[in-house]
Formats: sequence, structure tokens, C-alpha cells
Amino acid sequence: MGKAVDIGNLRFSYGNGDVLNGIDLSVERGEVIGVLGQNGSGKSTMLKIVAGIFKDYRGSVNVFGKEIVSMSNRQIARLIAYLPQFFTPSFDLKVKTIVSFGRNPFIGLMRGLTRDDIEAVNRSMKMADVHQFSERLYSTLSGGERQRSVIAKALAQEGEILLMDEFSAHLDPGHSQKVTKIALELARDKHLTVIAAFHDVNQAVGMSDRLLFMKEGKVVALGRAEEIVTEELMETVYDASTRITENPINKKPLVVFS
Amino acid sequence: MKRVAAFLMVLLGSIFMLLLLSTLGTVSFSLPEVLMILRDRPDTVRANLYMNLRLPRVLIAFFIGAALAVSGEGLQLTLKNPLAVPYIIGISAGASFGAVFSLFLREVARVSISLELLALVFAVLAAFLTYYISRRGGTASVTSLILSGVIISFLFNAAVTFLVVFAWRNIITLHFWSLGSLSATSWDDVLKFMPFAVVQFIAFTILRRKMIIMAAGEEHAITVGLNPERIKASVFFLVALTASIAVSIAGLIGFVGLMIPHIVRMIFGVDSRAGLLANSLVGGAFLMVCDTVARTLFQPTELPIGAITALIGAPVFIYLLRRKEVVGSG
Repeated sequence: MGKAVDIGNLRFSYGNGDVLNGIDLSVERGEVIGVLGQNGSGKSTMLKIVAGIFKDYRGSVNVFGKEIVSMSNRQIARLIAYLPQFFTPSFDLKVKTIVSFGRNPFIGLMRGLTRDDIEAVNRSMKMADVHQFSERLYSTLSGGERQRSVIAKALAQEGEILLMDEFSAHLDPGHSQKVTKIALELARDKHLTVIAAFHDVNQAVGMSDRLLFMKEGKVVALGRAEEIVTEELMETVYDASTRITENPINKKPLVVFS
Repeated sequence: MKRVAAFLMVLLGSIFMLLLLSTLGTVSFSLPEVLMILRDRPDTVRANLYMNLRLPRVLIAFFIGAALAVSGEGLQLTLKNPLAVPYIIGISAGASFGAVFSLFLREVARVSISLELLALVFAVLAAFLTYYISRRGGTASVTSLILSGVIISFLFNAAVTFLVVFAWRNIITLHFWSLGSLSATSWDDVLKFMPFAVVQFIAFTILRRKMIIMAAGEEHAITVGLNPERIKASVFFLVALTASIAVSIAGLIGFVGLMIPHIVRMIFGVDSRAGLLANSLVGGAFLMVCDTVARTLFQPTELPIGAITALIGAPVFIYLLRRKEVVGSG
């Protein structure tokens, strides 16, 4: 059985200087990878390449044995769902409509949503607990409710891989924790492979199987939190001094910024 | 259910208005007379007047209004910009240039090429230039599309100013043309324009779901399997063609493409399935009313329709905007 995602010597540039400088990462099916690094370290760029948004990369990005650049957007969207940091439609849409966007990769040009599509939309809304406001306008929802609607949209894609780009960074700590937990629990239930960029180190430590630390477009460390999270690594990645203790709740390393 | 009722009201209202408004004018008809003319086709002067002048004019008003509103809706969603109008992509400036160029040729070189034809050619050319300039590395970003539309408009407007120096004797023709008028329209215009309006409507009906996805951002559109460049190009060129022909027939009619989509969205919501049809009906009905006002208010003198659309439309829009705020905050 091939890897879910296999990234080899990935390089990318927006035009002036490389943002990614040779990233290597193999992700097993069903694994949750937490990606950490300062702003501008290349986390988002890497996720956007895997999501098929930027296709002019160098190196290779294999998803279940197929190179991303050789797949159509539609084929990619059937496999991979992407949760952005902000989802801001320019016009006010109903939650139901937004969730139904997730069915787009399965809809033919001349046809609308089939009964199966509508069932998938309803199922996803129930799982993300947004079905009670399916008829409401997105703009009338709270931050947490909005992100849950976007989770429902991603679930409606019924893919194999879930990418999360600092998905809950703009929410307060309570809601951020809750919403990320919902997304990851649903992903584990459905045996999805997850690559998630995190804003909060301890959240990432608590929720991921392995962590990937990035700096200036390179991998600084990759492995289980217990094995790699050290004060030196935090100094390298964040240019900040920290103390590492044991988290009393999950017994994993707890990073305290001093 | 409320929306279905509202939609049926708009549909029946538009048909009724088409008939009612066609009775008004320098020569007025009664509604029963109009129905009789349509049914029996008598060979009388009044019947001919109605069939050959009044009816095509009301119909072209409807189709142009409908097409401009549908164009505006398509562009606003696809470009994710509530201010996008068919004219923003350089069409109006290109058409103005074509018009003044025709006057210039007549004045200076004694060559007579139809003003409408040149307006059409340059409107389409301007739209193509806008698209071509904004494209880099296979993609035309929304911002660069809008910016290059603005720049192309500046360029053509500057050229208009230069040519006006030579064609100043005809400046009044140009001025009136630029304010829009349906006064010289005939069945030919109806038959010329209708196919484009219909094709655009059908294409946009098919593309509508994708347009709404585009309104949530291009990156998002890619992640749910769309190809944004293909959708932008299809919408862009359909709008460019339809709006250019509309401009060549009726001159510059502002407001419809900008405001009607907003008004329809306020009433029906963005994701209403009837959204596109509602746009064409409301846009068509709106332009019929404006044209009727233009030709009857100071008859037999005609007013420029572009001024009427703004005069009637702006207050209605302001009212809806205010009311929506009140509803939204309450």
C-alpha cells in the first residue's frame, strides 16, 4: 500500500526567492501530521501545493501514487479537502449552499445536486453539528459556527485527505480547541489522512501523531512530539526561549514560552 | 414559498408591464386595442405603428435590460466584486471611441462607416485588450482584470477627447449617443440582439452554480474542483459580446448592470435558484419602464434613457439598502 502523501524535494517560489527549499515528507494513510513554524516559514504554501492551488512547483508531490500536477482540479477535489484559515464569501450565502459546494467535484456540467448529493450534504451538516442552522446566512453565524460549516463542506467532499491551514487560529482559545477537535475527531472516525498547520504548538502536540517543524522553507525536525520537542528546537524554530515540562493532561511535552 | 410567490409576481408583472407600457407614447393605445392588434393583425395605420415601431422598441428595451442585468450578475459573482459592471471591462470606453471615430471619419476623411458598427467593433476590441493585458502566466487575476479594464478605459477615453477636437461639430450626436437611447430601434435590432441575450442566459444558467462558488474565492473554487480561469474567460467573453452589441444598439445605458443584480439579491438572496431569471425579468421590466418615461414624459421630445435609469433606479436602490439595514440590525 502506497503512502497517502509523499512529498520529495519540494521547491516553490512566488517569483523572488524560494519559499520552499526542498521539503521531504511521507504521510501514512490515517496519520495526523501537525505542521509548525513561524509566519512565513512556508506552511501554508506547502498545504496549498498539496491542495492543487499552486501547480508550478518543482520536486514531487504524490497523492496515493499520483503526481498532483498531472491530476485535474476535479480529481484532486475528490481526494483532498482543504480548510482555509478564513472562508469569506463576497456575497451572503446560506450554510446549506456552502456545504453543498463540497459536492461540486461529483456534479456533471448539465446536472444539479442528485438525491445522493443532498444526502451527503445533510449527513455532513449533522456530523459537524450545523444542520440546525442550514437555512441561515453565513454572515449571521459566530466564528465557531462558521468554521463548523466549513468543516461540513469539507466532509461533504468525502475525500481521503484533509488539509487544515491554521484553521482556527483567529478564534479564541476555547473555540479554537473545540473546532479543531471536532475536525480531527471526525477525520479520525473516517480514517482520513490529515496535514494540519497549527498556530499553537501545544494544540499541535496534543492532537497530532507526528510533528513537522519548518523554518525558511526547510524541514527542521520531523517526528513524534516526545522525541523531537526540545527547548533548542523551539529556539531554532521560533527564536524564542521556552521551558518544556510535562502536560498533566496528556502526558506529552508542554511548551511554555518564557 | 414566499420566494416562489415573489417570483411568480415578478414574472406575471413583467408580461403585464410589457403590454401596458407598450400602450403609452406619442400615439397611445388602449390595452384591449393592443390585444386586438396582436390577435387579428389588422392592416391599419395604428396597427402598423404598433407592430413596427412600438412593439419592437418595448421588446428591445426588455431584452437589453435583461441582458445587462444578467451580465452584471455574472460578472459580480465571478469577479467576486459587487461593483463589477459590464462596462468595467473597457466596453463603454471602447464603444465611445468607435462612435467618435465614426464621426471623425465622416468629418475629416469624408468616409462614412456606421457609428453602431464601429462602436461594436471597438467595444469588443477593448474587452479583448483588457483580458489580454491582465493575463500573466496563464491566469488573469480578478484584480488585474479590473485594473486593466480601468486602464483600457482611460486610454480609449483619452483618444475620444483627442478626436472630439476634430469632430466637434458632431459633438451633440456623440453626447446623446453616450447617454443612451432606444428611439431608432427596429425589429432588426430585436432579431440581432435576442439570440445573444438568449445564449448568454442559457450559458449563465449552466454556469451559475460555479459562479456562486467563485464568489467565495478562486482558491476555494480550485479546492472544490473548479477551473477558475475557464469560468472567468467564459463569463468575460459572453458579457463582452452581449454588452457590446447592446451598446452598439442603444448607446451607454448605465445603472442596470450594476444595481439590478443587487436589488434581486436583496429580494431573493444570492443562492436562489430563480436568481438569474429574476434578474432578467426585473432588468427587462426596469428598462421598459425607463424607456417609457424617456419617451412620454416630455413627448414628443425624448429624454436620454441613461439619465432616466439612474434617476429612477438610484432612489429605489437607496430605499432597499436602508430597509435591509434596518431588517438586518433588528
